[in-house]
Amino acid sequence: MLERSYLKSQMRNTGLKNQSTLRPKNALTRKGLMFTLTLTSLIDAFTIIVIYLLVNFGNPNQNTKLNGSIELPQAVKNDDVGEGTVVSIKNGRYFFETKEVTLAEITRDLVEVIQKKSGDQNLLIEADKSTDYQALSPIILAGSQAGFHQFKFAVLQAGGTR
Amino acid sequence: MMTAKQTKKDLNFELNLLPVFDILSCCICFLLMTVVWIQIGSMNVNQALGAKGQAGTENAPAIWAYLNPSGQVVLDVKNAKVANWMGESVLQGNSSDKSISWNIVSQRLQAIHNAVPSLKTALVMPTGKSGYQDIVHIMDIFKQLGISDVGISPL
Repeated sequence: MLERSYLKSQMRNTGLKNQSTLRPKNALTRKGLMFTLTLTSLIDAFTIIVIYLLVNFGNPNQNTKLNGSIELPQAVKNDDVGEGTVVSIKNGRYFFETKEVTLAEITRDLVEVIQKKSGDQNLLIEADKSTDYQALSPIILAGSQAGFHQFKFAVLQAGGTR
Repeated sequence: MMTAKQTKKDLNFELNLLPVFDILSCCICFLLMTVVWIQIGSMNVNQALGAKGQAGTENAPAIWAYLNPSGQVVLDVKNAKVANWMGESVLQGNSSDKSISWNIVSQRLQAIHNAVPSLKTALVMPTGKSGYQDIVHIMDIFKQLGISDVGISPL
């Protein structure tokens, strides 16, 4: 019964015994130095890496595309970015989503967004940490006039790097 | 007729792992290239639009924080009974670089929050020259203290 066991045959044909150069257990090893590469452990490691990366893939709601030269301020306590209309300030210039606009156009565009989409809308503001509030305030005013009442300032998690 | 040796040979099948290996490599490459390394968060600010009337409602305790250009921070507690020194605190900034002394501000806010645990509303009153980083920093302190409704005053 034991002689016909599948496990027994596996033990007999193990790759380590075959690779032994001193006392090879199998006649096949005498043919050459060709060895059996055990890929199982490698695949295990790969699977663990894939699962880890999938778990840490990031928040699918995070559709923020940062402008290259914007250095966001840091904050310890912050919330998820979520979805919303993005307005960014870069070197004193205003961008609605990715399009450069003037202040008057921002108000008009934000009103259009409010009219097109129903429900509560968020306004996500991206600005460099060195920006003065003088440049930031018109966006808050424009958003308030358009009907936004939830503003989100994009920040980096404190301790993170960019 | 099948012998015992032949049966054993059939059971020792070989699983071709190379395609699995290829797929996993592709998955790892894709995930590494598309993973988000920068964790962006947001500081939520609720702005009142004036749609709701306040007639007949009791005013909740609130704190107003004025950020002055010289690094001075003035904390004004509204609708709550606190000691005089806590009611309106003028906190001077660093004289050398005119920046805000965040340790002092944080300690004072902690003391105010301990005195008024029901404090849930804060309003930041920056000037035109106030830095965005300073505004976010004071909002961050408010949020860390559990003050959830943080607003900002436009110029």
